[in-house]
Amino acid sequence: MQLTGLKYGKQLMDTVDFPVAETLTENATKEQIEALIKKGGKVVVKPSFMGSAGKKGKAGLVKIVDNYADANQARKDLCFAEYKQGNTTHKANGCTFEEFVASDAELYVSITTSTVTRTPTMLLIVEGGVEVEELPPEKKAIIPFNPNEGLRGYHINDALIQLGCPKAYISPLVQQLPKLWDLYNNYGLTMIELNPIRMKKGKRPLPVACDVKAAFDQDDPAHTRIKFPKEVFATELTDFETEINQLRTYQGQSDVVELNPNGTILPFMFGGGANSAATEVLGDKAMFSSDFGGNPPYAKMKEIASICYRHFLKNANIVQIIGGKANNTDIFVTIKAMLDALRENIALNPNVHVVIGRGGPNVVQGMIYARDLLDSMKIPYKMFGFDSSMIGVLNYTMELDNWIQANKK
Amino acid sequence: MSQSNPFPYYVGVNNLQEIANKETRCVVMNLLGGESKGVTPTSHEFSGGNIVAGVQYGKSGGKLETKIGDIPAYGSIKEIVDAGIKFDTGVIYLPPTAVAAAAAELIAHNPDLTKIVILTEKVGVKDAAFIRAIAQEHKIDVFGGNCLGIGNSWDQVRVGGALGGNNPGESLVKGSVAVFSNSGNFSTTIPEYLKTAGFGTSTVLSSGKDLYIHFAFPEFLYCAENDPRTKAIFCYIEPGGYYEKSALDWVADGTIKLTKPIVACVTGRWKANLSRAVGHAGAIAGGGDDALAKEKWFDEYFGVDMFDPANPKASKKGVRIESIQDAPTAMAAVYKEIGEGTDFEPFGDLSLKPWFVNEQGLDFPEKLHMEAVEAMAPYNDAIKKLGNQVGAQLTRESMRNKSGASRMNPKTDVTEVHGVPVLDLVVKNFALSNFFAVSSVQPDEKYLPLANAIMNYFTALGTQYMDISARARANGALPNAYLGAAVLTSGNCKLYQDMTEMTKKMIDLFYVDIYGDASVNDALVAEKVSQKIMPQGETTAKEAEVAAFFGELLAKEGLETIFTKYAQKYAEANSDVNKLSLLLAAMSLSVIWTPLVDRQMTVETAHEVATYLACNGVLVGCCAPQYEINDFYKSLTELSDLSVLTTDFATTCFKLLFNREPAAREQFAINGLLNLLMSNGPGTISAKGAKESVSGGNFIATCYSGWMNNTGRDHGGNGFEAIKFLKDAFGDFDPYLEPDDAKRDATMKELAQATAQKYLDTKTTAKREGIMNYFKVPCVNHPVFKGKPVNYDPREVFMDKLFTERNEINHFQVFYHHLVKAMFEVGATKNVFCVNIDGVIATISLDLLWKDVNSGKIDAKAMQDIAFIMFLLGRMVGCSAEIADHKSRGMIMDCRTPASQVEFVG
Repeated sequence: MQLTGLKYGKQLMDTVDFPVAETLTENATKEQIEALIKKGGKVVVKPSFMGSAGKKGKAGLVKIVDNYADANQARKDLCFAEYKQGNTTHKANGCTFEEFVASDAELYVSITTSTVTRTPTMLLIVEGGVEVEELPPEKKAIIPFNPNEGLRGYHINDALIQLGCPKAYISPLVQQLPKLWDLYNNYGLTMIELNPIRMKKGKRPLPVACDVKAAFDQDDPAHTRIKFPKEVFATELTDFETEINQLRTYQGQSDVVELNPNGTILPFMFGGGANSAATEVLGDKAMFSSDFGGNPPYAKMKEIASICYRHFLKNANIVQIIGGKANNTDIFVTIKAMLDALRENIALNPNVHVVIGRGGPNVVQGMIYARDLLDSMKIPYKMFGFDSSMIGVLNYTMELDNWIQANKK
Repeated sequence: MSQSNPFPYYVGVNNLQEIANKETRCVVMNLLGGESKGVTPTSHEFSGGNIVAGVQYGKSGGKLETKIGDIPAYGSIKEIVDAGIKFDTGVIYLPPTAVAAAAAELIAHNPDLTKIVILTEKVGVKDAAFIRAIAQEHKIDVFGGNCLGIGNSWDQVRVGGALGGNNPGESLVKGSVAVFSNSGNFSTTIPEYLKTAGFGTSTVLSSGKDLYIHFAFPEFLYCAENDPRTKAIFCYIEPGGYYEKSALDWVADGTIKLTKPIVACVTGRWKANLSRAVGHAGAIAGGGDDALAKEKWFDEYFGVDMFDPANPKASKKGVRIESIQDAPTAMAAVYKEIGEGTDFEPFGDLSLKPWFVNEQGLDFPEKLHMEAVEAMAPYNDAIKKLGNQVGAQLTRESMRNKSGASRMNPKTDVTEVHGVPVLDLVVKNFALSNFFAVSSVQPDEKYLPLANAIMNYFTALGTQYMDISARARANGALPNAYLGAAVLTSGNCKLYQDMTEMTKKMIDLFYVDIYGDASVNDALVAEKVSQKIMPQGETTAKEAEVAAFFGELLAKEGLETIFTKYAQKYAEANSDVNKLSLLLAAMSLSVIWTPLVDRQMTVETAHEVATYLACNGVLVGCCAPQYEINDFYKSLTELSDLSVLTTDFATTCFKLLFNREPAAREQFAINGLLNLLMSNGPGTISAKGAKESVSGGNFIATCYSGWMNNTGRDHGGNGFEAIKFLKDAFGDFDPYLEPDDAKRDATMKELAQATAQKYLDTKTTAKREGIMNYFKVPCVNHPVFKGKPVNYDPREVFMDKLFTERNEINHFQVFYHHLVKAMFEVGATKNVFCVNIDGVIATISLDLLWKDVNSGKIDAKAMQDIAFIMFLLGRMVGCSAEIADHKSRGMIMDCRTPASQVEFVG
C-alpha cells in the first residue's frame, strides 16, 4: 500500500499541516493553471502513478513550463504516460500541476524502520533529488530514535548541524520536520519520504514538500483515518485479488498476488516458505502466488478455492497443492475444502490433473479423502508426502505441465 | 568458548540452550483461544509440563486439559503472579492488535520475565516498534512475531507454537545442526530433510518474518557459536531487511566470533517486482535487501559459488543452496569440510515417493509415469487403517438454516435437490427418487424393478399401522397428523434396528475387499459367511416366501450383488436370522453402494438407508382414504399374490389414493407431480420441522413425524385454493366430455373471459370500498417473473412443454393460459401475468381428481385430503434427504434460536 506524488500526497501532508506545494489535478481549468503559474512564475507538471512508481524525473516525465499552452501540452503528453522500472510498466493515471517553489536549497528526508537498529530511523540529506545509495556517508545523517520518545527537534537540529546545513534553514526545519513523525506514528505509515523539500524563499524560509512517497501498514487500521479516495489503494489489485482479499484475515490466511492469468498451473501454496519456493520454481506457469497457511477453517478455505477455480480452473492443466510438513494447519480440513470446491467446479475443466505435496496433521486422512473424490471424478493425480522433496514435487509438476501442454498441441 | 555479548542493543541469551530448555516455564496469553487450545497441550505434554498457567481475559478459573494435567487459566498476568506462580517466558497467542498490550502486561507485572515469544503474525509495525522499545528497556528477549516456536531437540522441549506439528518428537531429533528459519513451516520441514543425510538438530528457531524480527540472525549466530551442542547452522532466509548483512558484516569485522559453518538458503527472487507483501509481512524488499542482494551477501561471505549437488563443494564457512531440497547434501559437504561426521545413520531420502497415484489410464511417458510406494512409518499404518474408511467425510457445523441436500437456485428460482433441479426430477421414476434422496446420486435405472419391489414391500409392511391412522382420522386429524401418527409409532422397531445393524456389518465385512466392485464373488461370500455376526431373529413363513420372491427377482433381472448373495447364503447357514430383513438390507445397500464408495453419502446414512425407505413405506401404506374398499390396498396387506410387489411405485400411490387403475397419462402425471413436490428448499416449514427434530436427537421415524407436524391445512394451500377456484370457474362444464377440440377451446376462452371480468368487478368493488383482502386469482404472477408485457414462469413453461410433447393436454392448464390473457384484456392486470409453479401443481392435481370428483366418487373433503396427501408423499422424499443431511452434518441442538435473536412482544 503505497502512494507517490502530490495528487494524494498533498492530502497526506495537509493531515499534519506540513507545508506542501499547491497542487492541481488533470481536471484543472485554464484559470486555475494560469493562477498557479502566476504564483511561482512556472508550474511543474508530473504524471500521476498508483503504487510505488519512482524516479519519474529521471525518466523525463517531469516538465516545468511557464505558460498555459505548454502546460496544456504537458497535460496531454503525461496524462497517459508509461514507463518501465525494472520489469514493471507503470501507467499514468492523470497528472498534477504543482506550484513551482523557487528555492536555493533542497533537502531529502525520510522516516522508515531500520532492520539494522530495529528502530524507526530518520534519514536526512541537505541535498534534494539525490540517489541516496550513491551518496558518501558523511553527506547522510541517519538518526535512529526511540519510538516511545518520537522524533524530536533536537534530533533534527543535531543532524542539520552535522551536515552543515545553512543556519537560516535550521529553525524552520526543526519546527516543521517533527510533524512527519506525527504523521508516521499516528496514521499507520511504514515509510514517508519527501524528496525534495524545497526551502521557499521569503522573510523566513519555509520548507515545502515538493514530492511525497509513502507506504502504509496494511495490518494497522490507523491508515484509514486519512480518508483517501478508494481508488488510491484499490487499483493495485486485480479482480481476483480483490475477491480473495475480502476473505483476508489478520493472519494473512488468504494472501494472493496474481502472476499470470494465462498460466497453466493453479497453485494452492501453504506457508510463507512454500510460497517463496513454489513461486520461484513454477515461474510464469503459476497463475498466482498464494499463502493459504495458518490453518484456515473449512468454509473459508472452500470459498477461497471456489474463487480460484472460478477465475482460473478453465485454463489450468494442473491443480497444485503444495506445502511442507504443516505444524498447525489441518491437512484433512484444507484438502477436503479444496477438493469439495473442485468437485463443484469440475465442469469448468474435467481434464485437469492434480498434484499434491503436503505433510502435517491429518495428512493421511486428507489424502485418502482426495484419492476417493478424485477417483470418483476420474481425475488423474499424484500425492506426495513430506518425505518427498517439495522442490522435487514442484519440478515434477513443471514437467507434467510441459507434457500436457505439448499433447494439447 | 563463550564470547562476551557484542551487541549494540540488549540481547539477554548467550547460548541457544538458554532460549528453551527443561527449566523454561511459560505462561500462555489467550490460553483457551482457538489456536492455543489445539497447540498448547501438545507443547506441554512433549516438554514434560513446561506451561505453568495461562491468561484468558474474563475467564479466570478456567483450565486447559492436557494428558499430563490441567493448565489453569487466570484473568490476568497479575493474578498469576499474585498466585505465586513463577515463570520466565510469556507466550502470546492474541490477535495482532492485542499483542503490544499483552507484552506490556507481561513486562509490567512479572519481575521474573526474561523472554516473550510472539506467535501472532502481522503485528502492526507501530506496535512491533513499541514492543521492541519496552523490551529493550526492561531487558527482555523477544522472539517473533510470527514465531512458530522454539524447539530444543536435546531436551525435547518446545516453547511457543506448533513447531513440529502434533508430533514434535518426529522432527526434533537430537543432533548438531542449529536451524534458523524465516518460515514456520520450514522450521519443521528442514529438520525432516536433514534427517535424510543423518543430521539431527540442537535448537530449531522459527524467527518469524514480520517486518520486525526481534530475535534475528545476528543474535542466532552468536548463540549458536556459544552452544556446545551445535556444530553447524542452517538458515532459511527470505527477502526484506538487513539482518543477515549486519550479521555477516559483524562476523567479518570480528564483532561476532563465528567458527561454525552455515548452510544458507535464500529464496524469493521473484518478489523483487512486488510492491506489497504476500505471505510473510516482512518479506518485501526495499532497495538493496531483495533476494538477489541477500544471495550476494552470503556468497561473498562463503567465498564459494552456490552449491551444486552434482559436484558437492563447500567452504569451511559454509555454502549457499538454491533450494531447501539441497540442504541434506550441502550439510554433508560442509561436515566433510570441517572434518565432522553425521549425527546418526541417514534415514529415508527426498526422492519422489508418491503415496497415492491414479493415472486414470492415461498414457504417461516413462519419466512422468509413477507407481504408488508405501509411505514411511507410521504413515503406512495410518493409510492402511484410514484407507478403509468408507463414505463421505463431512465437517459438522450448525445446520440451522443450512442444508447440504436442497437449495433454491437464486438464478433460476428452481429448487434443487442434491444439485438436480426438481424440474429434471419430474421424469425420473418415483421409486428411484426414494433412494436418490438419501444417497444424493440418481441410482442406475437398472435397479428400477428392485426399487419398486422394495418400496412396495415396505408399503405393504406399513399398512400394519393403518389402525393408528384410522383412529386419528376418525378423530378428525388431518392427513399429515394421521400419517405422522403412524410413522411416529413405528419408533425404532426391531426391523429398523436389524436392517441398520445388518447394513453396517455388511459394509464392514466387504468394503476393504471389494471397494467399488459389488459384483457377486462366491469365494469371498463363502469366506465371510462363516462369521456369525448378524442380529438374531426369526423368519415367518410369509417372510420366507417374500424373500424367495426377491431372490427370484434378483436373479431374473441380473441384479444380484455380493451383498444379496451373502444375505442368502448367510440365511442358509444360520436359521436364527430374519432372512427377509437381511435381504432387504442387502438389496438397499446394493442400490446405494456406488454413491457410498464414491463418497457422495456418509456411511452413517448408508447404515440407515433401509429405515428411510421403510418409513416412506409407512406413509404410503396408510394413505389410502378408502382403504376398507380398496382392493389394491387389500392385496398389499395380504400379499397373497406377490406379483403386486412389481407394481410401479407411483402407480401404487395412485391406486391407494384413487382406488382405481391410472391411465397411462395419469401414471406419468402422478409420478411427475410427486417428484416435483419433493422440495421447495431448506427454508420450507416442512424441511425445518425435519431439521429441528434431528437437532433434538430423534430417531428417523420421529424426525418424519417432526416434519409432518409442521405441515398443515395451509400447505399446498395455493394449490388447493386453485383446485377450488378452477372447479368454481368450470361450473358444470366438463372439458373431458367435449370431444371437439375447437368447441372446447372456445368454451374455455369464454369461461376465462367471464372469470377475468368477475375478478375485475370484485377487485374494483373491493378497492372502492377499501377492502384490501379481496379474493385474488391463485397461481398467477410471481415476484421474479413479472414486469414484462407478457410474463412466463420458466418452471411452468418447462412443465407445459413436457406434457405437450407427450401429447397430454391438461385442460386446466390451457384454461389458465387463457385466463392470464383475459385478465390483461379486461384491464384487471397491467400486463399478462405468468402462470406460476403452484398453477402446475394445482392443474395436475385437478386433472387427476376431476373424473372422480365429477362422478361423485370423491367428495370435497376427500378431494382436499388427496391433494394434501399427494403433497405429503412428494415432500416425504425431500424431507428424508433433509433428515439424512442434517444427521450427517449438523450438531446437537443446532436449531435453537439464540436468546439474543428472540423478541418478547408482550
